[in-house]
Amino acid sequence: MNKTTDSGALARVRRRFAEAVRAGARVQAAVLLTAVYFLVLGPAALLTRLLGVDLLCRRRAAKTGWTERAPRDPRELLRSQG
Amino acid sequence: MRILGLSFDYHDAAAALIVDGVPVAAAQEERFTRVKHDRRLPENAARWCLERAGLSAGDLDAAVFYEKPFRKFSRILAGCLGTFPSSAGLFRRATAAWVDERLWVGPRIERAFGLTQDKVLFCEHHLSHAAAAFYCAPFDEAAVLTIDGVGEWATAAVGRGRRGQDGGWDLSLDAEMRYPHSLGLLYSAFTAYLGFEVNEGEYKVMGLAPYGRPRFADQIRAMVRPFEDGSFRLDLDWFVFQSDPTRAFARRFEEAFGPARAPEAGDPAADPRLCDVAASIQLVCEEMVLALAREAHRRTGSRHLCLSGGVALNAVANARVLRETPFERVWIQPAAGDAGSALGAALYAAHALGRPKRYEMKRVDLGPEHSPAAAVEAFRRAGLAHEEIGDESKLCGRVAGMLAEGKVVGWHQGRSEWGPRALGHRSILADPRPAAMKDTVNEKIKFRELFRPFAPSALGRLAGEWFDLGGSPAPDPYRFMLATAPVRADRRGRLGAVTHVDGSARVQTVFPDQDPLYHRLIESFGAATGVPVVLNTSFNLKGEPIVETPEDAVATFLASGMDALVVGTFLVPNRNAAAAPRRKVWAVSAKQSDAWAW
Repeated sequence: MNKTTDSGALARVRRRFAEAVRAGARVQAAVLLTAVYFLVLGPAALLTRLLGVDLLCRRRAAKTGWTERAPRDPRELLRSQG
Repeated sequence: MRILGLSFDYHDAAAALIVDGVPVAAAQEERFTRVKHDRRLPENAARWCLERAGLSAGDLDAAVFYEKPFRKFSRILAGCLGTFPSSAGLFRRATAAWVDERLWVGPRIERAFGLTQDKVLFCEHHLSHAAAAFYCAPFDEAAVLTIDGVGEWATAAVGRGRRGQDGGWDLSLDAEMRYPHSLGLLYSAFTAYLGFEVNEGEYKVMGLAPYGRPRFADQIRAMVRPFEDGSFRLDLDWFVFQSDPTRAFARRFEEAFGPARAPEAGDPAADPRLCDVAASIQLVCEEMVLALAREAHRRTGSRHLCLSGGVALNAVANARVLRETPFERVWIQPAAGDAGSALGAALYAAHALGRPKRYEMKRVDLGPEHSPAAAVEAFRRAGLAHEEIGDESKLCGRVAGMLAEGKVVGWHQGRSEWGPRALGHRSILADPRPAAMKDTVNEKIKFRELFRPFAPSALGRLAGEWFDLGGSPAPDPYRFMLATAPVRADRRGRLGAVTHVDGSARVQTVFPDQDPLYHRLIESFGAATGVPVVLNTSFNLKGEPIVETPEDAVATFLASGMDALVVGTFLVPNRNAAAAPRRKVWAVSAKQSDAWAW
């Protein structure tokens, strides 16, 4: 009986510890990713704007919304993830 | 050649197995896990597919993922760059999800099925959609049009399928529209504005639209800058989905159309303004689909069109494509959304790596079937008395009689359907004649919104007498309940439960070659009542996946107000001593946190 209670209590402690670790990891990841966003993406975004790169196809001068695709070998196409 | 197609990580995970160019098994993961729109790697569905074919993972020649993960991630990063500094939240959430698992699709598939790296392939998202349509269609040559929210970068694509010089069939996409300019995302933004769940509530917007007048259509057209070639650019000042991980529409929406409806708040059909917004976006969506289809015709000059992608589930737009474009025949993949891409990816690989025979999808029962013993066991556990009626005509006669008496019957037969529509294998059936039956089924059986319409299943050879299907034989999409049609004016009084407020119905034509048992049932109902049509809705409750096993069917039967249940040859003629409807606790929805394309 005591053994069951002990293992139940231990399991609860373990679960709470795991939850705390996960919460800590989430905070850590958020801080890191925010830093990456502003320190890496920030300058890159500035650069793309200076160079006039139209990442979201916002330019009003466009005459069509279609982008033509070059023919590709189907077997080759299946190999790559990008 | 044995190829497993897989779609997962976004929504509606699915697996499909192709053997020598022919789909032998296909199913969505949600049917196994009971998590609606389950997006996790579909191990259950895939293992069932292999088991069904008597294969093991080691027998596979390839496993094909339905899109290109690296390319998709590059789009998300580019979107974050393009909207810096307002995309910090999107970047944090998306990057965490991608670094955690989505970038490692290849290794995850290898690990799950014990495959080597060279056997894991990647098809493009819209090519998967295109293949799901063209390689299942009855055409040697066709224009192909895919329209959805977004894949990697593409949001719509146009191309052509045709017979190659070596006797095989080739499929290529010639042009694509790119994120963020997306008809699917535009429609989903309005779905969210109207308080429905994105990637789930689009049907509700379509169902709500006939209650309203499209008085906001011009304002919506102003958000979309159309070009003469059917393509368009969204005015991004109206949207925030490109930078906000949880929201789609900008504040301007509410300035233009009034306050957004809180999620699942009240009856939207009681608010004329919301109905008018739904009518307006539906009308604009139809116009845009028509423009894209006409461009597909202009580019290819083909007499045939194959249509796929999530927007191809818009049955009202599809009906207009059937009637108002120059195509003589149109074929639409029944699982037009991302789940269907598992099948498309596998078919594309099958035709790219080999030259299999042509397959034509005439029926969609590609899912699991269950033994009579499983049904008996499910009844026993639930304490339900049942009788076996081995003679099919007697069974159909008995059930038709019950329907004619106004009873609502759960109908679970054979293999489950591929795609979101229940077409007579996992259906709830009722009498289509009394208008009150619509409210009864909505309120007491499915516990869903009263404004939502129900679909009719009609005998194929007689359907034209009841519905204006625009030609004889009826166009192919009606076989799979993929288009609406006007109910003939003189018949509307006799189809009160399945005629929507605008006089239309999303009709399914049933032929004996497609489903002999279901055909016989409708024939029996026709003989008993003079109306060869039954009300058919999917065998599930609101917010739950369609039932798969007899056990699921029994649980849903007990949780709803259905009067009778048929599983195979077994009839549960009444609820016996079973208690009043009780809600289940095991069905849950997948998290929709990533509804906005990341």
